[in-house]
Amino acid sequence: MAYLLRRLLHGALVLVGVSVLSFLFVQLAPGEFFSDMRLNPQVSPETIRHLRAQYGLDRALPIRYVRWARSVAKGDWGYSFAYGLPVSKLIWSRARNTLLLTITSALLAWLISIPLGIYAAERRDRWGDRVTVAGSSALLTVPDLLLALALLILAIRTNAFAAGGMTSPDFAELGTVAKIKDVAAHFTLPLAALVLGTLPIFFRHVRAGMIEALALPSIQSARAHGIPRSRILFRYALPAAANSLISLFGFSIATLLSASLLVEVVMSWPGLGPMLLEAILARDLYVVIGAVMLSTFFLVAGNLVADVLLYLSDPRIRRGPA
Amino acid sequence: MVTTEPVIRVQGLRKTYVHERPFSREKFVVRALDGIDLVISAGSSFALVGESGSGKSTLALCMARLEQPGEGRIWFEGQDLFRLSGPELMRVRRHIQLIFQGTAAALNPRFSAEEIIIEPLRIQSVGTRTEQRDRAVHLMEKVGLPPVWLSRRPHQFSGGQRQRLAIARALALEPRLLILDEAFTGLDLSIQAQMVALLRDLQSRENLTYVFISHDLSLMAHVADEIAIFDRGRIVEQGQPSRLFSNPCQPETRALLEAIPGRRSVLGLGQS
Amino acid sequence: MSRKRMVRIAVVLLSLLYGAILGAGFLAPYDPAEQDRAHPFAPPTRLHFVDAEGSLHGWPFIYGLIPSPDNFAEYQEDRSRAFPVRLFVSGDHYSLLGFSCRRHWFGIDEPGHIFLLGTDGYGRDQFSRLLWGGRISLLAGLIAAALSLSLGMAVGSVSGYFGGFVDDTLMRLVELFLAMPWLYLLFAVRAFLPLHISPTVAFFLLVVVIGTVGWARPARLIRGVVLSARERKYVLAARGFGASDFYLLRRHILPQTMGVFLTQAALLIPQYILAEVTLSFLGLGVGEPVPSWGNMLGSLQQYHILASYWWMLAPALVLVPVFWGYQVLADFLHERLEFGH
Repeated sequence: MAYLLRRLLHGALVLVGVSVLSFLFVQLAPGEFFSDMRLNPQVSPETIRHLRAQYGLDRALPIRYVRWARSVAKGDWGYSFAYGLPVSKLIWSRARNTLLLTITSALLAWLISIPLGIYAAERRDRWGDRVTVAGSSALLTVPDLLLALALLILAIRTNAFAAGGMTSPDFAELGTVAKIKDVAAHFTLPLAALVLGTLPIFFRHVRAGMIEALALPSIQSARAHGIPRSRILFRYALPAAANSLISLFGFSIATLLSASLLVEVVMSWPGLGPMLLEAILARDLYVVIGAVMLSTFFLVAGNLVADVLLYLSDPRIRRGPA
Repeated sequence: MVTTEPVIRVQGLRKTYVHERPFSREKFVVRALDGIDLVISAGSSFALVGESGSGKSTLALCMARLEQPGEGRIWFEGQDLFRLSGPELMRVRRHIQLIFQGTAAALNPRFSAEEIIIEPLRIQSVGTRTEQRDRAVHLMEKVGLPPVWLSRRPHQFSGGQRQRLAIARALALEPRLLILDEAFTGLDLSIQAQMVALLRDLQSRENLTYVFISHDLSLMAHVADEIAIFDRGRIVEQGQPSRLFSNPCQPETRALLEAIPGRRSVLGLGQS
Repeated sequence: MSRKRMVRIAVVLLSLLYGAILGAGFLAPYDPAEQDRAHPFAPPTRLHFVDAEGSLHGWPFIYGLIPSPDNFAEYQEDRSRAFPVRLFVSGDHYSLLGFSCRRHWFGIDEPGHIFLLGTDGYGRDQFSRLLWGGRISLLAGLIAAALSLSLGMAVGSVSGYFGGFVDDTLMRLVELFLAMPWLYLLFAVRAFLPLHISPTVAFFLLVVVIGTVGWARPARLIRGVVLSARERKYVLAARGFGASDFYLLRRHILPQTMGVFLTQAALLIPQYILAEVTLSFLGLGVGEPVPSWGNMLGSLQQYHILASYWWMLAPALVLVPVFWGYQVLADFLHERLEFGH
């Protein structure tokens, strides 16, 4: 238990560290939201000064950070200049969409790569392995951007999938079933891009982990005892490879979040990505910080889940120190 | 000065290590050195004999000033090793050389024999590039290795040859004290005999003091003129080889003697 | 295909690519910024060997293009006017190693045009832009990787060699950087830079931003190598000869990090090329009129361009051989230098 508490504390510290870092980076920006307003003759300098004071931009950096932290504690996450709303109000629906995309694609990628990795490891260096390895290597050489663009072209050309956005223009008028269908149709393309982009990375790890597990003396001797192959694979080797796979799970969240950012922008999926881009272009500071913080939070949470799984699967850690 | 001062004087040396086992809060303390007093006079061959893992190597590292003791002092020719200024220490390092246990690991596999031998000279900025090269040739001859092998890398030498290479490197700075930590371990008997002959020869020509560290009492009886028996961080008995063999006072010494196969013949060797 | 041969092919391929972008001025038939307003979105020019009469030519030639009068960006070949492809023609100015040149690898006599990879919306030659844009993108990858690796090297070796408090602090910082999703991090750092800047400044800022974001992983790996290297006996031996920390790092410890260094370089360079492409694609990197693979792809965010003009995808397609080459190299280096003998 103490182990998990320590990991929790570590995660919290990482979040605080990231908040300070991103606050520092973003606040050091030479331009700010209101600097574009200065060029507008209809806005008096008086108004701008007033606005800046209202948002606290005339204060020193540490004070701004404390104010921001207080607003985080209140659940507002700062204020968006562009929308005049608390950041949390803007960000939650976006975060939900990003999560929907990343979690589904993570599950799908794992569901495909684990059996595939086991299959390849089992027939190591035979042609079944060679084909899958060559396929994954080929997929690995396709950058995410090209993958997303190529899938979009496919969608536009064939008209098979809805391309772009999350819903059709007439979404509001649809019935519940049709609504779900509509979202699912829009969902397919970004999902495919993310799964295809992360699959080869996961597959390689699963395969390597399984090859290592199959080489363990205990499993070699299980083989020699004539225990059936499937039983060896799933009852012996997979648990032995579990640890490295679980820690990979935490790491895979980072890859997915970054890949998702790009895919969302290219396919206009209304997630955190397009909002972040828009906020950067508008210098909407607190939205930028909010998006970075939230993505870091997902990552830390993913790592914590991995830690919990590791804790449950590995008795050594439970007996561990402190 | 030098003639009256012993080469090494050790007083009250203590050193403990605290081990923490991974995944455990248990700590256990190892007393590597537990109050060592020693005097080694110039030109002698001193041997420190004890079971492996009894902390002898720690003493070697302290004497070469590569390890700080917890307590106690060491004087080299009257100078306190642990109270030297930077330049003073640099000068003293020339005079004390250590040959490590497991020589292969003490030679950088990426270096050529020449680079290995002249490394001390480069670090101490002794001589020009060509002088260093001449020195390397000379040192190779001195330890009985063909100078044409200077371009070889450590893995191209045999175990005994690597040991010679390590000695050549240790001699590069013309030291006065040579500490040899298990220098003969892992070499076969004929090579051991060659090494002993080489070291004797060098000692007569270079005015060297040797400190041998070994677990092999019979071999040490052969090469040293003073032996200290070391057990669990302490020196339990000290004396000339013949005295130790004929009249061991301590149980640890007797245990070491009994570990020697065919002791009688060795005894004869020790007394010769 | 044997492993060795694959590595050899990868090296040759990468050298050809880098050679091509270095010689962009000579190899490209046009200036990358030159606009041909009469030919927006012209498709790749077809090389012909057989003329209208059906007789075979030993040397390729092309036909002129006539814009369709009814539709935007539709063209027909003008079979009445053939232009032979000429070698070493005189054309636009470019500078090569500081010399001003105007000799180009190949070209077409006026008023013909040769667009090997078509044109973009301003009628600029995609082939020329691809070569020039590769300079920005590939160079950004190299410089940013060099920056990341030197930062990682400095932090990793200090951390691993000196240990203690310094090590703890630096490693917490590394964890912090590794804990952030890198593209978000890149965006956040980019957010603090001015938006409207000259392409040159943008390029250097971009390189610095990408390079600073990625130092953490190499730093941690190099720390690991240094940590084990400093425990070697020969390091202790050299210390016994009076070697300084600087000497030990330079002569004994840093040479051992070479394997990790090279492998990381082969992994980071393509990642950073992609980072430049991504940022410029999103309008946060190098801007017009200077071409980069990223900003050349930018117009594809409009779906009708993406759907109609497939040749606009060329800058994304050239990433595939780049990625493949580096992947083969990285696998090879990883096996040979980090584990092998």
